[in-house]
Amino acid sequence: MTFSPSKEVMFLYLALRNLPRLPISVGIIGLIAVACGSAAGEADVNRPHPILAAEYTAAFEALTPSGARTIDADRYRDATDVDNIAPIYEPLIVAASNVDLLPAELVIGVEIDGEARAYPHRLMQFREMANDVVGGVPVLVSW
Amino acid sequence: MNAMTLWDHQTKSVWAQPWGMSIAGELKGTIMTLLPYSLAPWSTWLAQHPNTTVVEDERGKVFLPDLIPLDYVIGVSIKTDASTFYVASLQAQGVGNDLVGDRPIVVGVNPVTRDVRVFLRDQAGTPDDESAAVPALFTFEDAGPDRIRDLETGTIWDTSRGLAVEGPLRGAPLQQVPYITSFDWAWADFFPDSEFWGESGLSDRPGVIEVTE
Repeated sequence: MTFSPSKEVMFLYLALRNLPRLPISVGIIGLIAVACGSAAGEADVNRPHPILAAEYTAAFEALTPSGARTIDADRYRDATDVDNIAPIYEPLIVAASNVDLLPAELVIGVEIDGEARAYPHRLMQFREMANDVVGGVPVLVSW
Repeated sequence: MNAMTLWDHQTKSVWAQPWGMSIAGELKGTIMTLLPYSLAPWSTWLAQHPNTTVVEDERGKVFLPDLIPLDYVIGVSIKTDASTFYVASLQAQGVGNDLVGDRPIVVGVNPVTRDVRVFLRDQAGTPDDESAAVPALFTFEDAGPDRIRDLETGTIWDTSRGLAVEGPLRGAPLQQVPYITSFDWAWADFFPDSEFWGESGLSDRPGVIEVTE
């Protein structure tokens, strides 16, 4: 089995880890767009975009790349050993007030169902993969 | 083809990172769902999400801020179709209306933070004024940082939240579309039929900037 490098390419991929085994229904894209709590007529435009885990997964299933793919075997090569790069399996999650990040440095930010998580670029540059659960959704963050 | 492959501990299937698809093993052909994210300066993300938590190295290692590649593209792939946008061009224009296959999308970028958001242009939710007519298709223009305006109703939308904040459709959300950050040559490898929008803004590749406070 071959495993090739990521140093030459900067891909960021955030995916549901176990989606193939989840009984997810499709076709509710519109639901993610339903605003909550606006019955009074005067909506609070400062409210966060309502994103619920169940709606979230189904909505993006229809917006994901798919279809037959061709791999150019001549250009597929080993570049490093398996597990040479240590993924994050059990993320150490800390409060924003307890981190020392520069204002200008990049983070990968994920928000699902009101839970927000930042993965600093300086960390993902070396770890490359983080297995995590955000807003009840199991995700893989890949850099 | 230069990209990372992953393997899962449960079936030991191998997955191609750019496609999110298993290419070998028991799950070959299985596709993971791509989700949206922000690639933004820490100060921007924190301001938008004051309650955010942060992942640190669980082994206690401390990494210094590193050089950040500048010359990247935003790749949008919906099912079998794909379009690619040079961030440098997006920064200059602020907004891009496009089609990915038959799905109309809008790409908005904050020129300062480089925060990119993609939405469908043909699916808006219900506005606060439920009697307001919601067009079947929008065309957007730039209306300032994190703001776009649709030409059909004049409504101003906040791209950081995908929400109409001013005008007749106030309160209506847009459906966000996930994307992949990549270099153009790598994207072309894995999505060879993809169209490219704009052009690289850098003469030397890969361009980098050093993060400073």
